[in-house]
Amino acid sequence: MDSREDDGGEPLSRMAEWRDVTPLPQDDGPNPVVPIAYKEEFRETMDYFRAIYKADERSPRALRLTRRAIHLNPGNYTVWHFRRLVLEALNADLDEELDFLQRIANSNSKNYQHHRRWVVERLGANARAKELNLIKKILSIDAKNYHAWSHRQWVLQALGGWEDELDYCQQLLEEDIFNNSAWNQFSARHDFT
Amino acid sequence: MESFRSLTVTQRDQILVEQQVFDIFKTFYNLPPSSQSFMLELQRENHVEYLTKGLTGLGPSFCVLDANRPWICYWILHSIALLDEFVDPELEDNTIDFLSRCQMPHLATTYAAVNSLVTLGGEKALSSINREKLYMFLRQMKDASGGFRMHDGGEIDVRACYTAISVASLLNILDDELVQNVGNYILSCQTYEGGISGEPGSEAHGGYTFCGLATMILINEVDSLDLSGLTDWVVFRQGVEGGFQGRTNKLVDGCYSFWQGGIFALLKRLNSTKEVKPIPLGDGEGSGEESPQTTTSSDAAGEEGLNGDLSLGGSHSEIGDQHNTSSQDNVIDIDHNHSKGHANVEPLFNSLALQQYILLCSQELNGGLRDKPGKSRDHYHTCYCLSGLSVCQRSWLEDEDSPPLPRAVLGPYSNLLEPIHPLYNVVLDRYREAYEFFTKS
Repeated sequence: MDSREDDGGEPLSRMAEWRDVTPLPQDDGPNPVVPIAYKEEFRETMDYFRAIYKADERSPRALRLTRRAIHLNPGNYTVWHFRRLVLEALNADLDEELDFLQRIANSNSKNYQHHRRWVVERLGANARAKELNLIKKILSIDAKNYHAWSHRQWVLQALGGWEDELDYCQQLLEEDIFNNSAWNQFSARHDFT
Repeated sequence: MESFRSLTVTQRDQILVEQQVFDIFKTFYNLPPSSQSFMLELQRENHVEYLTKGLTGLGPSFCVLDANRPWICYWILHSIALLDEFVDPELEDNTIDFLSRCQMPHLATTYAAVNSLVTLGGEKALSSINREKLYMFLRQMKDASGGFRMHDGGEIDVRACYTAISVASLLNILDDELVQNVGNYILSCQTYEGGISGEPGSEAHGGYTFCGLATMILINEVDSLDLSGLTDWVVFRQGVEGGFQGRTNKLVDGCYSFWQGGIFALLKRLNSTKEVKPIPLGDGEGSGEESPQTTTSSDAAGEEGLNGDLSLGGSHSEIGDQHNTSSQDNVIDIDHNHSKGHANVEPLFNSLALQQYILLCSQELNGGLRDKPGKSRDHYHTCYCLSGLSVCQRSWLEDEDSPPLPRAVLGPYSNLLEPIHPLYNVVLDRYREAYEFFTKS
């Protein structure tokens, strides 16, 4: 695990590395509606993110910052999008990125899904077994997880592997004949191949 | 009788929910009528209090919804409008200001913001929408394949298509550039089950089916869908609990009261603009004129409280006049249906059973509505349970605007909510105002 990526959650304002950055607070106007009482760590992280985003700084520390922001709020698509831009700019190791994504695979967000697909696409056929196994793991906990199944189909379409899918569906249906997602996958097999 | 252990996960989960729900129903049926009446009351004041509080402050656990604050706005404002309540003017101004600051262009939040502003209504809210900018954004989100992506570099799916087309239609900026090939994409998402999935190949799902069907209607390509297959699928999504499931063999959830229930509202409109009479049910009585075709059985369900049988009886399925054209405007522009008067149709789902689920299982007595017993209330479920309830109450009406008969409304007549426009899920009056505003300007 790359320790450089793990900043331990220390306040950014106290870190030497961030001294040159002026955090940008959220502009909600004078009378915010549906205001959220942010936790201090979240607020601070996002303030720094906004500054980096505005400056379009695609640096290693920006990468670390996006990871921190993702942990606090995986639903923010701007952070995901910017992370991708930074990864591209740094020509980062996408195998490591895939490992990172696997570690946070509990995050159910659609943003995560999209980012993940981009990484897998870039990695190509070598990522297939890894991805399919990971999805299997997720489905073993939640056998009908919609996003997991969509992603599984996407991987199979992009990287192949439909030949073995019949066995997998059969196994799932033996465990639970009522699993409609498995039935759907069974049917989709014909549509795709 | 199989031991509990040899049941599958699906069966186990389902039985647990059924037990909870049937306990509630059993308790209810054993109550004296006066207590039953209370249990069926929509707790208007408490819901409004819960909703208004939501607009003015949320705790730290809501952090993760940060990127979706326009959604919370819409869920709350729409719910308040359904209850025929108003937001105080200062809060209204703040909301308009806030929505105009939503910096990050994203289709879902755009939909939520536009629907929120339409719900607020009035010159200030409606004129705050920059249609030119929005149109450019929609064009940018349009993919070469025909679908829409949610945001720059984001995913294409049926929901993105719906949010784009719905907004464009509502604001009167829908054109061929936006429409082309959307229909093909959605068609490719109708599954062997008959419902529609989020992406081609995925499982048929209530939310996406609503989005897909509404979009096809808005772009006037609904006839290319397998509508009978779709209808077949959705009717079987209503469970013994009375509520709807989102997918085959999954659990009931209050929000599908709208996603699935709303599909029936859309199908009803389609069937009424086509020159096809539905098959009369029951004894087929009725002159077919525009007289108030009420059920001749006058059954007890509406008047004496529930005593087991929740079906309204079916002897009044005639439709009045034929419509003169089947142009898509008749389906979208609700005023075309105005001449229907009090003609009634038989809903394709059990409306009273769904209302019973919403009122007894989804409703929290101290305000807010939820997925199912055991789950917590939230603004999303409050919005869609109430939207579903509104649809139910008017499900016998040809003309959604007419007052429903008391027997169509479970509980006291004061439970009656404002009617919605089922294509956009905004309150009908607000839709009309927006329609006028965006047609003129």
